Amino acid sequence: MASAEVLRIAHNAEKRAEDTNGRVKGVEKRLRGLGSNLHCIDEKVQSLDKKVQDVNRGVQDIGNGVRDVDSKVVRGNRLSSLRPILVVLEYSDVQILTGNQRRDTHLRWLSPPNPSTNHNIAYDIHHHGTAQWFFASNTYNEWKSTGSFLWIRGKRTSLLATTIDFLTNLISQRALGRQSSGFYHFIFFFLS
Amino acid sequence: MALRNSGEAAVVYFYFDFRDTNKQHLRNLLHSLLVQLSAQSDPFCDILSNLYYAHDCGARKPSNRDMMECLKGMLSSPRQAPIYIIMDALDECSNASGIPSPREQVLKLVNELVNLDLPNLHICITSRPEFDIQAVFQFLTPRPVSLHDERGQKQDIANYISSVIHSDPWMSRWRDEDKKLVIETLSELADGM
Repeated sequence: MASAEVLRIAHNAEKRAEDTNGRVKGVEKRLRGLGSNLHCIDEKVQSLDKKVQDVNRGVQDIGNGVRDVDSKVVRGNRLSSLRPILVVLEYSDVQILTGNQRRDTHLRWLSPPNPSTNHNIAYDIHHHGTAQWFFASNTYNEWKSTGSFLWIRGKRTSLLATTIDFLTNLISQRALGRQSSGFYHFIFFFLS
Repeated sequence: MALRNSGEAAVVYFYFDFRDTNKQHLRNLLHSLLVQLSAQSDPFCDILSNLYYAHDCGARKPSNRDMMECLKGMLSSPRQAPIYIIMDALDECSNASGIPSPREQVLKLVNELVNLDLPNLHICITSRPEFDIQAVFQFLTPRPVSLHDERGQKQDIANYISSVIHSDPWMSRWRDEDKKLVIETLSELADGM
């Protein structure tokens, strides 16, 4: 074979090899392009996914909003049925209500012992018609009107129970604007 | 409500009781008097509310001194209606333990209250004349009532014994002179108690 022919064949082979090489590179390039396209698609799918989630959340929010409105409507309905009571309280005895609430608070805070239990025991075992000498005495009457301190020496719980009731009733009768005399037939004595 | 707003007198009381440990200390007395006064008057209720708020809305309990000052604040407030504080059986407040003992603490309070010299404050206390009580009270009152010496008290005792003897189905059958002897003897032995 002539050397010229060999050279031509070699040249052709080289060219084909170069062509093949170029094609492979082209394929490679396309594959890379495809890869980045796939990546783009992936990103788009993800963002779509996110949007769907957002929409879902929006729907949930709307649901909650609807429920809130519902419960407000229910509450509003209830309040409108209570309104007459609220109005009555507003215009009558708010002072009493708050005063009593404060007194309940004081009671819970200090939780005092209850002296009325002793008072009731002493009062229940009294003897009718005694201790009048005490209420008629100057000592008692001076103490009641002007005295600062009275010491009753001795042990006589029922005398005290009677005194407490005497004073309390006197005050209640005055508060009611009635005559204070003639109401006190409850002067008692208990031999302790 | 009428009583609270009318400026009428307030009556508060406390029974010392040796059988009940919640009724033997100054703290118990102050808790009880403050709550009773607060219940009987709106201005007093305001004063106790101030103490409550000053103790972090009830998160802390007030000391005895805080409560004594609060009580004095109520008693000295411009309200002029009479206030009666009545205590029974101070001798049942213990003086056995503690320095000062519960009884010494109460005696100190009574002394302070009487010395406020308030024209609308009237304090009445019944108690056996035990030494420590006598020592304080003799300076606070010119004329204590001694139940032993009161003719009315003796007559009350005789009347009571008589009514028991005459109403009891068994004793009422006694002869008149026996009844008389029992009434006289028991009245004498009771010695005003």
